[in-house]
Amino acid sequence: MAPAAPALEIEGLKVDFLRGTTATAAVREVSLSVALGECLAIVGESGSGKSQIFLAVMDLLAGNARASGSVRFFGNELLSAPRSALDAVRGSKLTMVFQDPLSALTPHLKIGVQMAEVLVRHRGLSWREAEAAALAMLSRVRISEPERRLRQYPHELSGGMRQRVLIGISLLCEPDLLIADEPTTSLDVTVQAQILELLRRMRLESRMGIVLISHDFGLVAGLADRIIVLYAGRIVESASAAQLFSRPRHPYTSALMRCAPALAGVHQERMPTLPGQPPDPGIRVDGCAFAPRCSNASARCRLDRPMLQNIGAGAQLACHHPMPA
Amino acid sequence: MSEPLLRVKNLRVEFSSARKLLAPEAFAAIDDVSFDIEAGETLGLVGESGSGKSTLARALLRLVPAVRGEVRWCGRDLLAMGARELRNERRNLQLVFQDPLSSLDPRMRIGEILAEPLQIFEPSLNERERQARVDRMMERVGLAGSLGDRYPREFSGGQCQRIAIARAMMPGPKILICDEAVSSLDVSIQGQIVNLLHDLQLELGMAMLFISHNLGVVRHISHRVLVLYGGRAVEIAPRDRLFVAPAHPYTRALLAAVPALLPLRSSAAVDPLAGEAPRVDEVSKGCVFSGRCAHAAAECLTTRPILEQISEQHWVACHRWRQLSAPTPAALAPRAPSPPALTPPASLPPG
Amino acid sequence: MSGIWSDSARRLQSNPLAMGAAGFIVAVALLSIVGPLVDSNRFDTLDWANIAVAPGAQHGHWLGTDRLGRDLLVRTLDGARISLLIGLIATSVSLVVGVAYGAVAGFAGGNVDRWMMRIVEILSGLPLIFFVILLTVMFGRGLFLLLISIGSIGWLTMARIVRGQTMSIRRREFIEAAIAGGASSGRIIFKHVIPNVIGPVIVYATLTVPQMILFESFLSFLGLGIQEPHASLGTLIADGAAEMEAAPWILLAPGVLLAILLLAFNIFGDCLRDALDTEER
Repeated sequence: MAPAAPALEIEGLKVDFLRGTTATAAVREVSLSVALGECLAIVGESGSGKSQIFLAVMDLLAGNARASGSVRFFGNELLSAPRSALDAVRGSKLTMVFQDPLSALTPHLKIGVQMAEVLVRHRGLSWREAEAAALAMLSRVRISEPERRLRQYPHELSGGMRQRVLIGISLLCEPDLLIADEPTTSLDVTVQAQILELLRRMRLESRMGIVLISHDFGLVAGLADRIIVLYAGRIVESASAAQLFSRPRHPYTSALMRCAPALAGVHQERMPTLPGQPPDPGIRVDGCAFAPRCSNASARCRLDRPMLQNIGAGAQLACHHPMPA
Repeated sequence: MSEPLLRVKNLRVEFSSARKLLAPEAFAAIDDVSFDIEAGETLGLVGESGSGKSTLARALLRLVPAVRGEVRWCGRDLLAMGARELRNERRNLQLVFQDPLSSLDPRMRIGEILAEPLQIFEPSLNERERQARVDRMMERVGLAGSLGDRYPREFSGGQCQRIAIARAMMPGPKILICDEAVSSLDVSIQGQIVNLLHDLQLELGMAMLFISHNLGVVRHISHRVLVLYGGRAVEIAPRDRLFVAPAHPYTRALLAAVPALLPLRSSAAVDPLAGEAPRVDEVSKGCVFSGRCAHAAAECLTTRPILEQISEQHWVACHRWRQLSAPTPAALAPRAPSPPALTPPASLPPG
Repeated sequence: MSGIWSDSARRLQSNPLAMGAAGFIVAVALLSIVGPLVDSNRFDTLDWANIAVAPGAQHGHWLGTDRLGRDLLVRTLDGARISLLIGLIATSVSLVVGVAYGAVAGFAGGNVDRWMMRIVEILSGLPLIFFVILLTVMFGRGLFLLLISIGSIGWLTMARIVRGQTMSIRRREFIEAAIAGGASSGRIIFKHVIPNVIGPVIVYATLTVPQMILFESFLSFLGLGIQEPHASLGTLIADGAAEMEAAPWILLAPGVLLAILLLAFNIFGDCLRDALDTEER
């Protein structure tokens, strides 16, 4: 895929939560970019800050959160932008799909209304035209009985259908970038496969970029071009999917991959795991945040935080003692 | 042949709903479910939404009422026990919940939470003895004794689950029911808890019913696996057989749907299973899976399949399992009908 | 279980608004006990020379006198004492009875709950005056009877609130865990349910105190409660209302004091709720 202009560029993003005088760092420093037509996966666990990065991009952070740094969408700065500039792109060109479809949909409005609303507002269509477009989108996301769905309420739909509706809504204005935050976590495994298939198809049909946020490597395996691994609010490794799966360099990446329990192969008595737990975001750490749990850690790691460096072929790594190349 | 530790026969749990008056046969959360668990073994219970797996766990503990069926615990009828006897028996049947934080009383210190089972079941212990037991158990699950003064909200999810497990272990249960016990934990922490449960089982000879939708985790910890769909048992098999040669089309679809780590194995090869789990008020006369099954025949739509044994400890409820099984080197049931196994193997769900 | 309370107490103590409100209430209470003892006038001393005089220092009546020449400062303090006493005791009665009743009903559910609540509904529907008159006829007038009457009414709403809270707590997983853990119903109600519902209940209790005080003044106004020459803030206000145009100070002192007392209770109740909310991170 020929390199395209970056749709989204994030530079030096920091997100803190303030409670009285104490500040909790959710995102300590993150820089990344997503191009049109590219699928970027962000993998991390709780405390990694993976969701907060994109909540900051969409200006959906909680009231006591403070974001700093630079977020540029096609060159236009979003972080300090006035509300009107943000509203022009948010929901139309830059859309987000969340983990829990039920709470993302308004419970007392019919599906058809919620979908049409987007087009009426962003594209200036009439309600009739918007409803027709909504119907077409429901067919495109392969929801069963689309005419009937338009007239139903969110609670009447199953989880998988709601997520299809949400994806449909986010695609209505033909966005340049779709951010999917754990889109399948609350769904059954069999439904999850359907949604992934849907995302795959949408990707083939359009030029849009996708950011896929997840804690599950297996999930992103079939979709991602590039993968960024986050730990404790920082990027620890970034590489193409092929490279990351064949040769993960960072000890956390390689350990996390091993932790995904296998369905095939020789049965092991003990499940692979990492000792300890992710660090408390409220506590500042000297040195590498992963050092307490790392099998490669040395004294240096506890004092001197490794910087994120380019290691060639577009990959980045922040580690003093990486796994062999 | 001694009776198994737990024997469940034809268990049925219904929703209490006014709509039941109109269609009495509908709205069963689980129906006609039978299985056994031996002492010291782990039965994995796999199912997605609407499968009824959580309802099953609660019905076993009489947290929800069962309308039909039998639960034999150590040879006694659990469903018929009086309130006092049941309460006493609870020390042997303990439950660990999905959300570790909400299963702990937010107003109690964890030392008190852990001491409570002793106060209930061993009231003769004095304060010092109780404290000693609590400290020992905390250490056993990997928590420092000094943490006993803290409140649940001060702990992480993984630590809370350790506390919940410790609480369940205090009375020395014979069986531990884990209802999605690791599902809300980080992937890198899940193994810690699963390994802890595994170690406790080996140490204490405890049986386990491990309920999860995560097949990978189930594979690690289970000896045998029961697959639930739409409130019915569709397949029971020893672990290795289930994952290598599943007989029921739903089990196969489920295994195929789990995203694989190696991109090579993933995606395009298999079409994902269409449709969704049946809604609770949908009633099918035939096989509960027939609506989504790619291989459904006329028979599947009209007659409900019952569990039939297809090999050693392997049971499946499917009319067409023979046609669907690819021939494997391991001996399967022959094409010609053969008499069922005459000597009952260790875990035999009664037909 | 002491831990939760000491944490909350610490939080409360560090809240200046809460301490201010609590301090005010305590100050009024102390004054109302000590004040009338040190003042030369008693609440029923009639000063014929100074009937209905405005507040002033020259005649020694700091807040003035009423129609009968009684010193308003002493009467107001006395009234405050009686009002506080009534409010606190009646609230305590309703708290104890209401919490126990509501927790049992909410936890038991089913028919037990249905019948217990039916009783509450019937009692709520009874005209309370009728009820109080009945009690008065049976047991005569007096402070004790007044407290019982008011307390008997107060527990009804408390029971409803506790029942509602209990029902929502009952669905929480830690209650299910306690049942699965073999705890008896009694143990669950007293060790798990009540400590977890006590927060809103106590807040409601601090709001109940002013309600009790108002209810008492209503009864007294009808001649069923505090009788002359004793007075509560309520009766003083009732008296003062009649004289509002000619001698407004008769109404002013008890009125302002009651208003500030009620405000203090409300503020304290809110701060108490915040302090007790351990779920907040």
